[in-house]
Amino acid sequence: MSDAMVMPSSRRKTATLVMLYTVLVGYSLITLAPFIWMLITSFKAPSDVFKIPPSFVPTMLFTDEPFANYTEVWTKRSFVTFFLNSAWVAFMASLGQVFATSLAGYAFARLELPGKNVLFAVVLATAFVPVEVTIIPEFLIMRWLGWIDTFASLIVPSFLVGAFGTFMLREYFASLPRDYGDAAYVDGASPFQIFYMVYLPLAQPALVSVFVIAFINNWNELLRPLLFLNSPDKLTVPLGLMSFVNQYEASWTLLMAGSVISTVPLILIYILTQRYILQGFVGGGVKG
Amino acid sequence: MSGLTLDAICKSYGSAKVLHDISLSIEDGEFVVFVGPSGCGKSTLLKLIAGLEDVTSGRLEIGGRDVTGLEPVDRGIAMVFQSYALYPHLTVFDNIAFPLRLQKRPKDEIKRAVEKAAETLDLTARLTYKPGALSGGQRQRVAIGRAIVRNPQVFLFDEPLSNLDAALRGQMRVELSELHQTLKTTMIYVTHDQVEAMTMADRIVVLRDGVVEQFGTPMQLYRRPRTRFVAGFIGQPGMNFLPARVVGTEGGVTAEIAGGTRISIPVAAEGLASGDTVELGVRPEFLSLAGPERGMEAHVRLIERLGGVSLLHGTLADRTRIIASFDGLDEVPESGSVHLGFDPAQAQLFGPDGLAKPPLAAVGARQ
Repeated sequence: MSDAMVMPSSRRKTATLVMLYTVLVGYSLITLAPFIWMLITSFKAPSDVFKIPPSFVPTMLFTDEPFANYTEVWTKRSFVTFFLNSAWVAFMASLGQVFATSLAGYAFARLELPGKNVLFAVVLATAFVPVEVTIIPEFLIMRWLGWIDTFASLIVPSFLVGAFGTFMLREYFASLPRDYGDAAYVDGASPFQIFYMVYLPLAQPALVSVFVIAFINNWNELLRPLLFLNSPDKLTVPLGLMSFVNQYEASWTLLMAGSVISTVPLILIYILTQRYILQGFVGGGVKG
Repeated sequence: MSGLTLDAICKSYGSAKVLHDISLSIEDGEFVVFVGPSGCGKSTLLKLIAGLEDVTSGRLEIGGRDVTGLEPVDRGIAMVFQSYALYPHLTVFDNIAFPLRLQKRPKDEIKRAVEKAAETLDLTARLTYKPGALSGGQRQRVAIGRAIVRNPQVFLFDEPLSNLDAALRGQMRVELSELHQTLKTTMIYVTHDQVEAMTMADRIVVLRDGVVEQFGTPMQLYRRPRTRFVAGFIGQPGMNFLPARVVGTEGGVTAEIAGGTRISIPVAAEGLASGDTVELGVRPEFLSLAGPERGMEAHVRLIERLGGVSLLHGTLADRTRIIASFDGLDEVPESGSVHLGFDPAQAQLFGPDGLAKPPLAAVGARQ
C-alpha cells in the first residue's frame, strides 16, 4: 500500500483518538470536580471555606495539624458509631439482597412455574415505583411490627425482594448451560441441590455484583434511616453527616471530612471486587 | 438383567409429534447406537430413556422393571452429555464424586470408588485439576468417570465425541469400545456420525423424522438396508443410486439403466411391473473396471487418492453421478471414459416407495 493511501487513514485515526480522549478527560474532570472540591475543603479551616475568590489550596495541610478535621470527625463526633452502624446495616442488607434475589432469579430462570412471566413482570415493575410513594405504608408496617428505631427495619426488607438483583441474576442463571442442571438431576440432585451445589457457585461474579450494588445503595440510604431511626447511637453515616449542618451549626469542613471518610469503604469494595463485577455484567461466559 | 425395552413410545410437543411408536428391545450388555440426521429425534429418545423428558405415551422398561414414570435417579441409568457438563468450580475428584455425595455415601467409600474410576480412565494424575485445565479427551473421560462410579445398569451417551477433533475422536472411539468390553454394561450411544455407529455398535437404530427406519447389526444395515434412506445414510462414501426402469420380472427383476444397459437383479419382484421406475443401489467398492463395451460407461470427473483407496468420481450417460472405490495401488484412469461393472447379487433394488426389495434367497428361505 502506498504512503499516499496510508497517511490520510492514519491521520483520521489520530484525530478521532484525540477527540475521544478530549471528551473522556473533560467528562472525567466534570465527574471528579465535586469529589476534588470535597477533598480540598476537608483540609481547610472553616474560615477559608467561603472565601471569594474561591481558594483551591488545602490550607490545613500546611499547618501543624493537617488532619484536624478528620480527627475531630472520627473521635469527637461519634462518627465511629455511625460508621459501624452503616457497615452492619449495609452488609446485612446486601447479604439479604443476595439471598433473596439469587433464589428469585434462579426460580425465574430455571423452574417451570405457572404465571412465571407475569410474576416476573410484576417484580420488575416494583423497580419503577419511587420510594416516596411507598415510604408511608412502609413506615406504618414497621411501626406495626415494632421495628421503629431498630436496624431490622432497614435489613429485613432486603431479605424479601429486589427487582434489580432478581433481573440481573435471572439473566445470569439463564445464560449458564442447562446441561449442568440436567447432569445433576440425572445423578439424583433435588432442585434445591442443583441450585446451591451447581448453579450458585457458578454465578459468583453476578452475586458479587449484586452484593456490591446493594452495599453502595444501603450505605448511601438516607430517607429510610431518617424516618425509621431516632436514637443517636443508631444513626448511620448519611444521618451523621447531616448532623454537621443543622440549625445551630454549619461545620462544612467536618461535613466534607466525614464525606471523604464515608466514600472510602465504597472505593475499597469496588477495587477489591472489580474483576467479579465486570464478569457479572458481561454475563455467564462459562464454558463447560 | 439390564436390558431395555421400549414399547410404542411416542413424544409430542404440543401438536408437533417428534417420535412415533418407537418399539425396541435392547439386550443386556449390548452397545446400541442411535444414529440419524439432525432433528430425527435421537437425542429426544435418549432424554426419554434418561427421564429428562416425559413420554407422551408408551412404556419403558429397564432390567424388566417399568420405569416410565420414575425419576432419572431411580432408573439405574447414568448419562454422559455432549458438552461433558463438568462443573467448572469442582476438581476432577469432586466432579466424579458428585453423584456419590448426593447419595450420602461414606467418605472412604467415595474415595475408593473415585480412585478406581480414575485408574480405569487414566485420570489418577489429574484428580486435583479443575476441568478448565484438562484437554477435550480428558474432560470426556471425567464425564465417563462420573457415570461409572454410579455403577448404572445402562449408560447413556449423547454425542459424546462431537466436540473432539478427528484424531482424538478416533482414539476415544477405541477407548469407549474397550470400556464397554471391560464393563459389559448396556450402553446406548447417540451420534449423527455413521462411522461412529458402524465401528462401535453391536446394533444400530437408524432414525428418521421420529421413526425407526431399521434396527440391526452394522453389517445388516450395510449389506441389506431396508430402505433407500438407510442405504444412503450408512457407508462412506455413500451408496450409488442409479435410476432404472423395470423391463422384466421373471426370476428376479430385470432393470434398464442409463445407456440402455440391462441388469438382472436377484430380488423379489413383488409389487413391481414392467415400466415401473426403480433405483439400483450399488456400493462404491462393489464397482470395478469392466472391459470395453461392457458395463456402464462413465466419464471420469475426478480421482481422489486417499492412500489405501482411490475414489473415482464419474458421470453416467444420464448425468447420474457415481463413485467407485478402488485399491490405492490400482491403476485408475485420471480422465476420459471408463466402463464400470458390478456383481448384480451385491446390488440393492429400491421400489418407488423407497423400500428395498428382499433378495430371492431370503424370500426362498422364508417360504
